[in-house]
Amino acid sequence: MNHNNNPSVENIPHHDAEHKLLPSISASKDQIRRMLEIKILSHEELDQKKIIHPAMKDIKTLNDFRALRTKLIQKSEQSNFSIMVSSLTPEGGSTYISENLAAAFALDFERTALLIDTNSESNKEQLLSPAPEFGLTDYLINPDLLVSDVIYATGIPRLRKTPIGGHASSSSELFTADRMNDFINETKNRYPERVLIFDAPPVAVSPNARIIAELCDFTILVVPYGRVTKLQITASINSIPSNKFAGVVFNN
Amino acid sequence: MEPHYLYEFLISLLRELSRKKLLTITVFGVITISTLCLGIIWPLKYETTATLYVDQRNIIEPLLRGQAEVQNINQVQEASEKIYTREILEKVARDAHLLTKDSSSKEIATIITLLGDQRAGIRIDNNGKNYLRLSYKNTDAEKSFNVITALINAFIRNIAESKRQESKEAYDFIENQVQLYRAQLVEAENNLENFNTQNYDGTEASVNERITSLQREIEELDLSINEIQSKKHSIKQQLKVEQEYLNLRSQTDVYRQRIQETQARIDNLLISLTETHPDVVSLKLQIQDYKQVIKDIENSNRNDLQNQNNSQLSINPLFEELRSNLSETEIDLNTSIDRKNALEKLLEENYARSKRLSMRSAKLSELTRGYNVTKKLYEDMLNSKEKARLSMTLDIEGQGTSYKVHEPPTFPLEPSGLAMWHFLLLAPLAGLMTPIGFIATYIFLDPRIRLPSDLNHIPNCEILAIFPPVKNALFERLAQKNNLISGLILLITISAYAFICFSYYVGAF
Repeated sequence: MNHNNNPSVENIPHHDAEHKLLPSISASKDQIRRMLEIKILSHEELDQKKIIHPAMKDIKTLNDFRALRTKLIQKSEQSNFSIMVSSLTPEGGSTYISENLAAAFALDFERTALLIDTNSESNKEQLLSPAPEFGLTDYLINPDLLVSDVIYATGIPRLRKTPIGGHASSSSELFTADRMNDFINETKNRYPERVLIFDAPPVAVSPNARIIAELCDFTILVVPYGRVTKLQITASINSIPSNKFAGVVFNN
Repeated sequence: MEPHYLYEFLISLLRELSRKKLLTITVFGVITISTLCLGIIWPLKYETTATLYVDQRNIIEPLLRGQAEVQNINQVQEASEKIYTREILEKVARDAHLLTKDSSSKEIATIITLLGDQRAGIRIDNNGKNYLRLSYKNTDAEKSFNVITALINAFIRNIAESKRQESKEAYDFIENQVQLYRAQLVEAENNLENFNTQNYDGTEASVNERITSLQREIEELDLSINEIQSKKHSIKQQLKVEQEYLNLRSQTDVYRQRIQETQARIDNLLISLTETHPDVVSLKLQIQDYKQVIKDIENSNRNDLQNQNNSQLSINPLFEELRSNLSETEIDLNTSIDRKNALEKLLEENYARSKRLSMRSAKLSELTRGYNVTKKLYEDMLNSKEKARLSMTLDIEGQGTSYKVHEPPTFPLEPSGLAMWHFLLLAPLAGLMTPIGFIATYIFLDPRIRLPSDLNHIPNCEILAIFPPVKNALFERLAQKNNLISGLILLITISAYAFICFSYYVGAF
C-alpha cells in the first residue's frame, strides 16, 4: 500500500493490537517504548530545523517548552487531550510552536505526541522527508483509508505527524464531517498518554481554526513579535470559547 | 515605567535595530560623515568682549529733583540707541580698518548694516544691574579686536561729549530761566510800585476814620445849625414885635405929640375962652383928626411893616441890640451851613474813596502774590544755576560721566562657538542617536505588541510562555548579505572618522 520509503509506522504490526482499549500501565509504557522509529534525526539536524532536543545549547527555550507542556498537563484532567495551536497572523510561528510543543511532549519517555497539520498555508514540510503521500484531508475524503495510513514517523522518538493532505481547499467542510470525529477518537485513544496537537491556521483568517477549536480540548494562541495589536489579540481570544482557551504564547 | 518594562523596551529596540541593520548603519554613517564635514567647513569665529559699568544717574536729575520726574530707562536700550547710530558705526568701521578712505558708499552702507545687526554684528547685553557687555564676532581675530576697541573709544568719547553738551545746555537753560524770572520779578515790582503810587487813596482804615470823624462833625454842625436857626428865629420874632411896636410908636408918637400939644393949646384957650369958642372947637376937631390918623396908621401898619424902616427912630437900644444879634446870628448860620456843605462834600468824596479802595484791594493782593511767587522762583533758579555751574565745571574736568570701562577688550586667541573637536565628539553621537531615536519613537508609537509586558494589559489573557527569538549560527549570520554590507559601511565610516580625527590633530584644520 505504501510506496514511499517512509512507511507509516502504524502499519507494522506490533505485539499490541492497534484498536485495543487502554491496556495496563506497564503494558502502555512498554508500548510506547517499543514504538518503532525510523532513522533518528541527529542533534545538528534538529538544530537546523529549530526543534528542541535535550542537548541543545539554548536551555532556556528547552525549559520554556517543558514548562508549557507541564502547564497544559496540569490544566487537563485527562492524560490524553488535544491542543490546537493557532497564531494570530500568517507566518506567526504556530508551526514552530506546535512542532516544538509536540517535541516537548515527546521528550518524556512515557508520552507520545501526534502533530496534526491543519494549516493549509504552510507549505514547507520539514519534518517528513520524503514528502508523504496521504494526509488528513485525503483520509477524510477517502473512506477506504485507514487512520494508520496517514500517521507518519518524524525521526523524533515518540513524535508522529499527520500532514494536511492533498485536499486542503475543502478542509472547512471536511473538518466538520463525522469522520473527523472518528479520526480524533481513534488517534487519541491509540496509546495511553497520547497528546494530539493541531497546527491550525490563524484564527482571524480562516474558519477552520474555529472548527478545530470546537474539536479540541484546549487552544493556544501564538502572539508573534511586533505584528499584532491588542485589539486583534482580544478579538481572536473572543472568538474562541472561553472554556477551551488555555492562554497565549508570545513568540518573540 | 517599571525597570523590567524598560529592559524589555531596550531588548525590543536592539532587535528592531538589528532587523533594520542596513538602514541603521547607513544612517549612522551618513550622519557621522556629514557632521564631520560640517565641522570641517564650519567657520571659526573669534569673539571679543568688553564690559562697561553704567552709572544710571542723569545729569538733570539732581537739578530738578522734586520738580520734575526722571525716567529709568533700560540701560541696554539706552546704550543701543547711542551705539547703533551711523556716526559711531562708521567711525568704528574706519578705525578698525573695515573701511578705507576709498570705500564706496555702498560698501560703507553694507558694513554699517552688518555691524549694526543686533545679532550678527555688535551685540549689547546686560551683564548684571549696572554692567553692559559689548561683544563682536568675526572670523578674523584681529578685526574682532579692533572693532570692539574702536567702539569703546568712540562710544566713551561720544558719551563724554554729549554729557558735556548736555550739562552745558542744562546750564544755559537754567541761565535763561533765571533771566526770565528776573524780568518777571522786575515787572512785578514795577506793577506793584505803579499800583501803589496810583493809590493815593490811602488805606481803608484811615478812610473809615475820616468818614467817621466827618460824620460826627456833620452831626454836630447840624445841631449847632439848628440851634442858630432857632436863635435867629426868636430874634427875628422879637425884632418884628419891636419893629411893629416901634413902627407904631414912631408914627403914632408924632400924632400923639400933636394931640398933646393941641390939647395943651386947648387948655390954654380954655382959660380965656369957652369951649364953644371956634378956636377951641377947631382945635378939638384937629385932635379928632389926629386920632383918626393914628387909627389909620395902626391899621395899615400891620400890612406894611417893612415900609416902616425907621432908621430915623433908633431910639430903642434893645432894638439895636437885637438887630446886631440878628446879623451876627445870620452870619453864624451861613458859616455853619457852608461848613456843613463843605463837610458833606468831603464825606461824599470819602465814600467814593472807600469804594475805590475796596475795588483796588483785590488787585493789590493779586499783584503782591504774583510778586512773591516770582521772587521765590527766582531765588530757586539762582540756586539751580549754581548747581549747574558746578556740574558743568565737573564735566569739563572729565569726571562724572555715565559709562566707564569695567573690563577692557582682550585679543581673542581662542575661537568661540563650535570648534572642530565639538564636531568630532558630536558626529558619532548624532549618528547613533538619530536611528535609535527614530526607532524608539517608532516602537513607542506602534500599537502592535512587541513587549511581553504589554500582554499583561489584555484581559482574560493568560501568558503561558514567552519564547525568545531563535538565532542562526554565527557564521551563517555573518554570511548574510545585509550583514556584510552593513559591516562594510560601518568600516568605511569608522575609517573616515579616524582619518579626520588624525588630520585634525596633525593640524590640517
